[in-house]
Amino acid sequence: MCLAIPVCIESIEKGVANCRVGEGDTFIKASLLMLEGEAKIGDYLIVHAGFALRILDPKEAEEGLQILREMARAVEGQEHLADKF
Amino acid sequence: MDLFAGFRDPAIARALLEKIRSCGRGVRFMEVCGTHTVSIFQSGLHSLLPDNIVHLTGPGCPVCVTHDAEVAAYIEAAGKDKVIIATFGDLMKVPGPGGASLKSAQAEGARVKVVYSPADALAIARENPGDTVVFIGVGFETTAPGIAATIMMAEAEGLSNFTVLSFHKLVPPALDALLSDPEMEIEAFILPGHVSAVIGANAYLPLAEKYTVPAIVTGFEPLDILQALIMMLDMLRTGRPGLANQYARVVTAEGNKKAVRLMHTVFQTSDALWRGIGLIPGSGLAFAPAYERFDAMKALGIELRDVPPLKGCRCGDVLKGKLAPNKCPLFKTVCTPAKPVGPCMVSTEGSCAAYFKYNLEA
Ligand code: SF4
Repeated sequence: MCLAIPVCIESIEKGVANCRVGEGDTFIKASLLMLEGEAKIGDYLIVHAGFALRILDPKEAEEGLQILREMARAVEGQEHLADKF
Repeated sequence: MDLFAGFRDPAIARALLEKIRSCGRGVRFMEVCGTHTVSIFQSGLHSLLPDNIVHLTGPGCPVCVTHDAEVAAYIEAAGKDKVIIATFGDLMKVPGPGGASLKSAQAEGARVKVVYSPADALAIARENPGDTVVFIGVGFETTAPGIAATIMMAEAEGLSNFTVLSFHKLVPPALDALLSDPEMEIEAFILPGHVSAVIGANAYLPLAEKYTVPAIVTGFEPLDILQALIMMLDMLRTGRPGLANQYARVVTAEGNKKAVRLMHTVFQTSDALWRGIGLIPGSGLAFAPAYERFDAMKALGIELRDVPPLKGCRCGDVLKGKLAPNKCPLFKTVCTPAKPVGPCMVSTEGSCAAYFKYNLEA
C-alpha cells in the first residue's frame, strides 16, 4: 500500500503530480492537496495511496548520508574503506 | 545527489553491520510498519543481522490488523444489493467467517473493484449513481488523511452514493497497548517512517515519558534501518533510552499538520478492534457527526458482530511478536500464500508471507 521510496515529480497538472518511481519507467500520480508548502518539478515526494504526504528535504538527506559515511569510516578495521566514501 | 543509491551503499552497509556485530550486545526490536517488514526482508537484512539482533514484526500491516469482526462486516456489505465495494487489492483474499472472502463473494456475484487510491473509488461512485459505493478504509495515519480528503471531495461534489467503512487504526495507542503488556519482551522499537511523517515525531513524546524503551523514527532504506539499530544499541549500552528521529529528511517534530487536520475534521478518535490484540481504547477513527452520512455502517445498517476467530491461525501472536511465523503449526503445511489461512499470509506486508517468500525455516 505504501511506497517505501520517494518518487520524483516530472510534471504537475491541476494539483496532481506525475511522478517517476525509482530509475525505471514506472510513473504514479499523486495529489498534492495535502502537502504543506509548494511542490515543484524535481522535488521528491513521499506518496501513500494516491496522496503526497511530504516533500523530502534534500538538505537533511545529504546531511543524513554524510553522517552515515562518517559512521562507516569510524568503524574499526574499516580504514581501507576511507577513500571509498 | 543520488537518493536511491546513497542510502543503499553496500560498502557503508557492511561497515555498519560490522559496528552492530562488534557492539557486544543484542536487542529484540520490533517494527510496526508493513513497509519496514518488506524492506528488512527484501534487503536481506533479516538474515544478515547477527543472531543476537532479533527482528520482530509487530502490528504494522494494515490488512493483518484488521479484525475478524471488520472482515465479517465488509463481506456482509459486499453481499448487499446495489452495493459496489471498492478496496485496496490486499484485502481480496483475506479469509473471513466460514472461509468467505471478497474474492469468493465476487465469484458469487458481488461487485468488488480493486482501487489504488480512495480517489478512484470516488470515480466509481460518479459513474454508478444508482449504486452505493463502499470504500473499505483500512490502514493507519498514512491512509486516513487521504480518505478524509476524498470524503470532503465527495461532499463538495454533492456525491451522496459514496461511503466509507472506517476501520483505520492509530499507531501510538497500539504501541501503548504493546508496551503495557507485562509479558512484552520487546527491548526497542523502530517507529514507522511515513506514519510519523504525518503525525510528527513529537506524537510519541507521551509514550517516551511513560516507558523507558528506545524508539527510533526510521526510514526504509537498508542504511536507515542499520543506523536505527546502532542508535538503539547505543541507547541500551549507555542506559539512556529515549525517542530519536533517524528519518529527518522526511519526518519533522510536528509532522504534516494539514493532513492531521483533515483527518480530525472528518473523523474523531474512537476505540478500535485489532486482530490478536483486541480492543484498544482511542486507537481508531469513527466518523465525526458532521460527516456521518458517509459512514457505510450506518448507510447499510451493518454492525460489528462477534465472530469466531480463524481456526488454528496464530496471526494474533505473530502480530504481538510472541510467535515467529514459522513456529505456527500451519505455516507452509496448511497455510501458504496460494491458500492462506490467515491475513498475515495474505498480505505482501504480512510477516508469515515474508517468511514464506524468503524461505526462512530457522
Ligand atoms: S502461518 Fe498462516 S495460520 Fe499460521 S499465523 Fe501465519 S497466517 Fe495464521
